[in-house]
Order: sequence, then structure tokens, then C-alpha cells
Amino acid sequence: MRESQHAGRLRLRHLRESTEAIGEDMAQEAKRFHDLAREDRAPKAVSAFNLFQTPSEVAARMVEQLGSVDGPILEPSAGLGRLYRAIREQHSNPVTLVEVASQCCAELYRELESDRAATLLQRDFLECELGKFSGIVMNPPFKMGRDVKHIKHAIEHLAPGGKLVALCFNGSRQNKQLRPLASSWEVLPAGSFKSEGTRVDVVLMTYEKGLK
Amino acid sequence: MSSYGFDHRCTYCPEDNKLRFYPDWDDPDFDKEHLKSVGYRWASKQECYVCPRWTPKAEDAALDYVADVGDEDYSPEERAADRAERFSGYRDKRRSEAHGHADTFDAGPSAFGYQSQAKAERAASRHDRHRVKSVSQWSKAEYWQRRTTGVIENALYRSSAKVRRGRLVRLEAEQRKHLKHLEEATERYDGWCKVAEMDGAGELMPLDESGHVDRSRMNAAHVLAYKLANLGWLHFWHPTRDDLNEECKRIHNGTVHGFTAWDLLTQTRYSVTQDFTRLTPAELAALIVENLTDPREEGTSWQRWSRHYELRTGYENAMLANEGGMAGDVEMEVGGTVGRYVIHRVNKSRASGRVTSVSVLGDAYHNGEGPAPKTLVKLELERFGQDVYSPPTDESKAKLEAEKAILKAQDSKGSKKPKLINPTLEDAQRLTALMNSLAQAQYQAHRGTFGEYKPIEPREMTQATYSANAKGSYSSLMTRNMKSTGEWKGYHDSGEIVCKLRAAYPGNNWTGTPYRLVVITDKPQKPLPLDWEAVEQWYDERIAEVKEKAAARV
Repeated sequence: MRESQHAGRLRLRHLRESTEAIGEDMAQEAKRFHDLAREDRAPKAVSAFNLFQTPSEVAARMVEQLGSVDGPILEPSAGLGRLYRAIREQHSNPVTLVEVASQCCAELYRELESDRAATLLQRDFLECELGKFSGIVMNPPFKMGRDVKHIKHAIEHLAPGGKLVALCFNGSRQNKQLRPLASSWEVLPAGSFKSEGTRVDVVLMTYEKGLK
Repeated sequence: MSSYGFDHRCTYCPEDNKLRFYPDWDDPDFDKEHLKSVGYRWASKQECYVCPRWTPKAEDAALDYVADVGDEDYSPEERAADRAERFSGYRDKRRSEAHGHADTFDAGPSAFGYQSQAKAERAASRHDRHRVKSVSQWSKAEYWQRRTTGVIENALYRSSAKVRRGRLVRLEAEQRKHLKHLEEATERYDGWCKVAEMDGAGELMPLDESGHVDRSRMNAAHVLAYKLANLGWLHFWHPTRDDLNEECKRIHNGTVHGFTAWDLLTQTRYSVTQDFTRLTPAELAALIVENLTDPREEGTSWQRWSRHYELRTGYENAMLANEGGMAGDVEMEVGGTVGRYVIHRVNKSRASGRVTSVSVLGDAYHNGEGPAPKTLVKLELERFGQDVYSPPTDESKAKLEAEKAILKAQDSKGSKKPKLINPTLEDAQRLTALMNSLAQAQYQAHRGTFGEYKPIEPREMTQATYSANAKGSYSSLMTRNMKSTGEWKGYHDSGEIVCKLRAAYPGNNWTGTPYRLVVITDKPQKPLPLDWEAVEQWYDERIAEVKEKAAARV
């Protein structure tokens, strides 16, 4: 019994040391969880007209297709900024984001607070005159042929030598009006927007000013 | 029920006083309910039945399956270490889960946007579960961290020598109590044996017309049997009246175990409808001697408890011998030191003869204004080792003298202690009459017309009677301070104390009744040092005040 008591005491002292060390680590970590416990840390639910965000993989591909850009970049119908985040991974150029939904703007404003090269405008893009941009990346609303109007309006904002990368619906109107303008026309695989809750057929098109 | 062919094992641990039974599940005769009925409980982590405290019954239950009870090899400290490791495992699991969920949450977006609000809310809620879960798991990790710390600290504390010293003191007190009860039980047993052989024990206990015991017609056997029947709680079923036994079981629904010895001796009726057949002292004695065993007999529960206490105190003493012993076992002297304190007085236990505390110079309780006055305070030594004491040295003796001088100077400077006075009967009666008049007014003010105040009177007694009844904290006689207003000094009032008087509890049913004055008849008496005119005026004013307040309340 005496040996067992001695061994037990040694084990307990060793455990006390390790428990105290872990306690100190946990005291440091506790801040993270106290912060997470705040109700305002809960994610927001945002809804807006025809809001289907660009899946991250598609967004990365679009920015890749944009290539290198010298001047400012425009992102109309910015939504919650998925394309903006993909742009920021590769470009540090000034970016102008246009979004009409106030809830989306509120979220975007929070994200863009620390980015001095980003400009956020809460407007209807079709009524905007914003000047010329070297690159435009966009995922416009598809409903009732709005994507055609948006892309055509965006082309007007493209500086000579600039490039536009856009998504649009693979419909007859789009094929008739946009395909002749496009430098490239790639139908994305079916279900590309499945994660956003739609199985719409989508086309990834590019337009380069000066080539046509 | 013996199952010695199987590999059951039972151990006793003197450190925690627990019995552990490790069953062999192959034994078809093993009945866990048998163990549970005497206090064993299944300890899943230890994989055995644990009885939280040794008792003869618990040991007997184990001995139904094993030949003997062995020593436990695994110490409580190791068990605690196992427990702490288990708890730290829970903590680590919860902690990593909390971080995992928090990482998943942080990797996700801060907003979920869809065309449909319901869908957006569903997605946000689904992602928010990671946040909630991480906070929840973190809370559990913190809980297990606290539990781990608690287990370790508790085990280390309990394995310290000071806890063993406290345990030994408690054990010795329990042992003394047990031996006292054993002595009483032996006396009772011998008494009943004696009753059985006494002349006149065959006669029924004499009762008067109202059915009460008639003491004037009792013989010696009746007197002894009546005295013994009032001791202890012995219950027996009636040896000849089964109908009464059944009725008793029916009425009390199995919560009583028979009639008391006193019932069997003196009752004439059991209920309104049933009479009761009394037993003679001889019949009752025969019944008791037949059902009880001699407490001195080897193997009885009494003797097993005695042996258990001897073994436990022996074990604790042996362990303490290697852990610094007990300070109380050292012969201490005035002038010696305990730590940095010089001993002014050594206080010993009357029961164990061991030093329990020493009186040293300390701060008296005061109102916080200025430096605290000095007084003698007690240092409890029950949990200290022998090394705490140092014998007197020239230096410590000089310090003792200096401290005594401080106390003396303080006593002569401060107000003198009131002198104990034995008042004359006339003065005591005069003051009691005044106290009664005030108490009467207060009684009427508080209780109105409900009942009436019972006036008190001074108590007269000899010094011997007073001394015999004034011992202990709960005695009805005491000394109390008397104020110049003729009122007893209370806890919250202030006033000049003029003398100390002997007092007695009023023995009245109203809490406002003042203490009674005690007059010692065989000692010189002195008049009370009171200004009687001022005292009467003070009482008149108080009575008027009480009446005024009562009238205002109405």
C-alpha cells in the first residue's frame, strides 16, 4: 500500500503540473470561444432578387480567364462578394463593386472596410455611368434576359484593350445576342450552380475590346 | 450461499475504510442484490462493488462468497490519478472538438445569401450550429478541466498528514463513544440477567387506577426492570399474542419491529378495541436474554466494532509515525514556541489527555478604531506535526515575560472587570419585581390579551448546587453582567456595567422573560451596588415607553 501511495502521489503531482500548463493554454484560448459565444457572431441570412452567388471554383476560373489587368476592375451585381474575394486572391488593382440590394451592401461594406482600393456603390447597375475599366468580372441576374442587358451595359464600360468575363444563361436570346460578341463561349457543366440551389445551364463568356 | 470454489475477491482498504468486492461472474449463485442490500454499489470504472464504509454486515455479506477479506493493494491516490487521467481525456476530447467546430465556423462565410429568405436562413442556421457546438464543447472542456484540477487537489489534500491527524482524532472520538455504548449495553444485559433471577420478578408491574405505574407498590425487581425498560430501544414481538403482533404490523405498515420493553411491561390496552397482555419482569427478562447476545461475547457486532476501531487507530498511528507524528503527543511547556508564537497556556483534552491547543498572544476582537487590544487566543494543534513545537529557550522565556507585561499593563489601564456579587434576598426580590413590571408591560404590548405573563422569582440555592449545575455550555445557570440601570447586559446595548451576578434561565414559555437572579444561601451576601431611585426611574420610563408604543400601534 505504501508503495502504491507513493506512486500515486508522484502521478498526481505530475498530473497537477500538466493540468496547470493546459489550464494556462486554455485561459489563452478562452477568448476565442467567448467571442464566438456572442449572438452577433451568428452568420446572417441575406436574400435579394435573383441572388445566386458564384460558386468559389467558378469564381476562381473567371478570374483566371481575366488574366493580368493593368487598370481598375469592375464587378457589377457584386452580391456578397464571392467574385471580389477571388479577384483579391490574384489582383491588387482598384476594384469597384456595384450592388443594388441593401442587405448585400451592408455585408459587403463590413468586408471592404479594410480594403482601401475597393469602392462600393449601392446602385442599379443599368443606370450607372462609371467610366472605363480594364477588366470586368460579372455574374449578372439571369431572370427575364437581364443578363443580356447587364453584359451589354458592362461592355460600354470596358476600356480599349480591356477584357470582360461574365456568366450568362445558355438560352436562345443569349445565344442570339451575346454569342456573336463573345471572344469565347463555354457552356459550363450541368449542375455547376447546384450548391446555390439551381440547376440552370450557364455559359462562361469572355469579351475583349479591340479584338472585335 | 458459500461460493468458495469461484474466484471472487474481497479487499478492505484502511486508507478510505471501504470494502471492495470483485465478483466472479461465472458463479451462478452470486446475488448482487444481496450485496446491494447491505450498502455495496457497483463502481463501473473500478469494476467491483464498493461498500462506502466498513460494517460487520457488509463484511459478512462478502464473507458469504469469499473465505477472507484481503488487503487492498491499490491506493486511493492511484485511483484518484486514474480518475484525473480519465477526466483529462474527456477534457482533451472536448477541447479538440471545440477547436474543430470553431475552425469550420471561421472558414465559412459571415453571411449566406440566396434568392429565397427561407433558404438563406436555413443555410445560416446550419452553419451557425458549428459556432454553437464549439462554444458548448468548450464549456464542457472547461468543466472537465475544473473537475481534473479538483480531483488532483482533493486527492493530494486527503493524502496529507494533517488530514490523517484529523481523521485519527475523529476515529478516537468514535472509539470512545463506541466503548461507552458497549459498557452501557453490557450493563443493560447484566441488568436483565439479574432481573430474571430476582425475587418478585414473577409478579406483574403494579398499576394504579388510572393505569399508570404505581411506584409505591414496586418491589426491587420491578424497580430495576422499569429502569432498564426505559433504556435503549429494544423491540420484541409479543410472545403469546400473535393477534396483537399482526395488528401492530398492519397499523404501522411494517415500519416498527415490535413492542418496546416498556410497552410489554406496563401497557394494558393496545388500542381502543384491544386489550394488551402484559409480561412480568421475569418473562420480559427471559425474552430479552433469549433474543440478545452478551456484548462481551467474541464475534458479536459490538466486539467486531471494537476490533475494527483498534485496527484503524493502530494503522493511522503507524502511518503517522512516518509522517511527523502529532503535535498533541508532545509534552508542551509554557514558554515553548509554536511557530513564531510563545505558549502562554497548554490546553489538553480531558478525554484523550492530548494537547489540543495552546493559548498565545493575539489580537482581541475590537471595533477597528486604533490598534487592536491584545488577548490570549487559542491555536488549534490537532492537525500539526510534532515539529511545530520548540521547547522553551531563554529568548522565548524573555518574550513570554514581555507579552505577559503587555497583558498586565492593558488590564490595569482598561476598565476593571466587574466583580461577582452575591446579592441579598431583599435586593434580589426588589430588582426582580422591577424586571417583572417591565416584562409584564412588554408582554401585554406584544401579545395583548393572549395568556398572561408569569412573573419570575429569585432562585435560592447553595454554592454546591450552583457549582454542580453551572458546568458546560448548555447549563441553565451562569453569570451575567448587570448594568447600572438594573437591567441585564444584552448583546447589542451599551451601558455601564456595575457588577456580575449569578443568573438562571427563566424557565418560562415567553422569550421576553428576563433571567432570574440567583442568591447563594451559604455564602456572604452584599447589597446590590445600584442607585435604586435611578433604577426605579429608568424602569418607569421604559414601561411608559412600551405602553406608548403599544398604544400608537393600536
